[in-house]
Amino acid sequence: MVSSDIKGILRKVLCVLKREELGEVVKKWGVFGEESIREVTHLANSVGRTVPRKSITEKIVQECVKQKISNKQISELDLLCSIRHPEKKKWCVYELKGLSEDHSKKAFDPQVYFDKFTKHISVYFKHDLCMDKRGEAIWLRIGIYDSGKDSAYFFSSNTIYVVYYPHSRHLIVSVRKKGLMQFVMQALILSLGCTSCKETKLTGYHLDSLADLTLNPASQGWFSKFRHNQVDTNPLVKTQTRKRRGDSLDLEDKSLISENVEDEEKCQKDLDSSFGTNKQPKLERIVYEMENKFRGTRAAPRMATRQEPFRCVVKFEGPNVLEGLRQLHPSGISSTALPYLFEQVLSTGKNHFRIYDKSSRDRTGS
Amino acid sequence: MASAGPAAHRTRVQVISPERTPGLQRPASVPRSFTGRRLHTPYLKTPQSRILHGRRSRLTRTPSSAHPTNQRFSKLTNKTWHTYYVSPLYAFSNEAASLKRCSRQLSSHLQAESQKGVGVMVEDQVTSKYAVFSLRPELFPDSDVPAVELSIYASKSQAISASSPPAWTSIFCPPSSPVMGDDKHFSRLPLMLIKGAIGTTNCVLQWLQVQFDCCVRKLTFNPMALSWMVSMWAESLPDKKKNSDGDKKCGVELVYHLPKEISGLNKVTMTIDSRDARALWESVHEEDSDEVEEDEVVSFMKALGQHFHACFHIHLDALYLKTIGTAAAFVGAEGRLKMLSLGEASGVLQHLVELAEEKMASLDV
Repeated sequence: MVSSDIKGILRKVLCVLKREELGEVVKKWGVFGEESIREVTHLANSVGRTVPRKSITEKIVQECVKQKISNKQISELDLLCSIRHPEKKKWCVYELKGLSEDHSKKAFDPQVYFDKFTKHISVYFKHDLCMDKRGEAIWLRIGIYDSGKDSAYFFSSNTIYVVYYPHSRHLIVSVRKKGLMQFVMQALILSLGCTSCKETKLTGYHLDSLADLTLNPASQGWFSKFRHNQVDTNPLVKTQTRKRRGDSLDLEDKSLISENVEDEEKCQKDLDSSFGTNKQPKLERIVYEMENKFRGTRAAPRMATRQEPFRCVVKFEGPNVLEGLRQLHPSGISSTALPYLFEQVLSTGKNHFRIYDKSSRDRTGS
Repeated sequence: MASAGPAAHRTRVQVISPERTPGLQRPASVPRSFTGRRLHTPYLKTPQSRILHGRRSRLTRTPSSAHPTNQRFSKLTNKTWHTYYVSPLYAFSNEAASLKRCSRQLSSHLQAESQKGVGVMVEDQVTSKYAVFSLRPELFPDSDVPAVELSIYASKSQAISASSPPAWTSIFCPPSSPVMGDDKHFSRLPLMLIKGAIGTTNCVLQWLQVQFDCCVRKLTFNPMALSWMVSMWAESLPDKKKNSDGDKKCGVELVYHLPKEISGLNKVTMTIDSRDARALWESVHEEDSDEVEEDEVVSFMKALGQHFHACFHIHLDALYLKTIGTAAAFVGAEGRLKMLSLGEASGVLQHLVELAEEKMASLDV
């Protein structure tokens, strides 16, 4: 490979990192000698006269060229960088089907999973494979060489990231080329011992939220406080009681009263009972494909006689849609705390729905 | 409008080959052959303006009305334009000579802007930017005043050969109806569509404002205007040639933005199947009537709001309508326009011209 190619690739890989992270990542990578690691760490953590990120990156790139690093090592570096910034990729959740009964009881050995996967994927592609751990999750990075050009494999469209939480029934995958996915899926099915793998309708950029929604489907919304251990209070721990909190808010002048206290309390109670008090999982968009009866017949009475369903697609977009929906009710934009259709997001773990009327077709929220 | 004989003739030539009009100081004394070699013979080549036949003739290309009526907007559709309103232009003339002079002046103005500090002669051969004013009467055949196109090319050779599209284009649209009163010195071209780099836009607008003593401002659309547009064009049909996947995209789209206080959710997009949107419009619209009534628009939007509320319990009225999309056009509140259908383009432009006129009328008061 030409060295200028390597330089470009390395710059691209390192650009997701923040300045402070560079030293840490290089240290963890373990390709450089101690001397250069110390130098990079020093530059990255310099406080007074800050060195721009670009020049540190350039230093690392120079060192890499000097060391003649291999493709495999670049892949490892890429995985290290991606693990730190999973929000830069679009993730999609796949559901594993036909897992054996004792799946969740058997011990899970990442190395066995890795070896099995290597064996099965080699049938299809020339590839390079790296594995790492982030919390409980096992990350696999599969770089696929599918074209004649040696450097072509590194284009991120040929790279697939697979995140697997041991003992779970879901895979979270970031893939650009859907065509490659069917082969990789085959290898994954064989190495995880399930019969099939289905794409669920849950996609997004925030990996932890997706994992939260898929791993804990039964404890979303109001139930999340059980998972976060906020129900059983330890009698020995002195907590701030609700009464005291109320006191501090009391106005000094007794003649001033808020007229809407009851409404506000009810609104807050509704919100807590539907969304729970904890932070909502981050989803960037929720999509509904609707095909139901037209309900606006009060303004357009002639539509009532129409037999056909009213087809429309409604998209809710924003950095954290669920959190935004929670704010709608207090601001008066929505009339109930959590409409039924949004409840479905939390209870089914999906963000893409197709809505039909029960009468027209017996399919709802597929 | 020039009506005198010779002037009209010149205007027509102008129309035929707009890119040629400001041909600056063609050296007529030395004839050149097609290969560019100098001919040392007493016989000169026929001037291009007098060639009657052949590819190089400008006269044979005269019939501008030969464009099928629908195709006249083909240059305007499927592009994103920025909409501006223009107050009446003082001392603007449609005559060829005047347009030529304007082109030359604007070219040198742009040249001067691009190399600030270095002096530029108006009569210099401009190299870096080349502006061309030309008339486009075929766009609005019913109007007395022809539309004016202003294109800016990267170089003169590009402008003459028309090999590459202009770097910056704008269209001045004529007013919807003739005005009463004395407008001997003023030309009214209320709507201006602009496509191109913002730097050039600023430069050109500045020149226009100084040159014609007018005022050019962004034409923005409030939610009321947008709901009128979406209702009026809800029943428009996409062009026939569109393939099936384009058909799927061609729904009626309403993009709502949320108030700033709500941090997590930015926008709500509602895309209605075009058939259902048409059915809804027909149900609120008086049959066999071309006129759109205010209460029809109101009930159209209300019906959509009610449907949305029934499904999501969210009041659409509380959100800001920012963008609308129909088979005819996409319009953004901040003054962006993309026309999709050739058949509907004239209706769309006419409506926008009216909005621009209304806007200026409201400013006059």
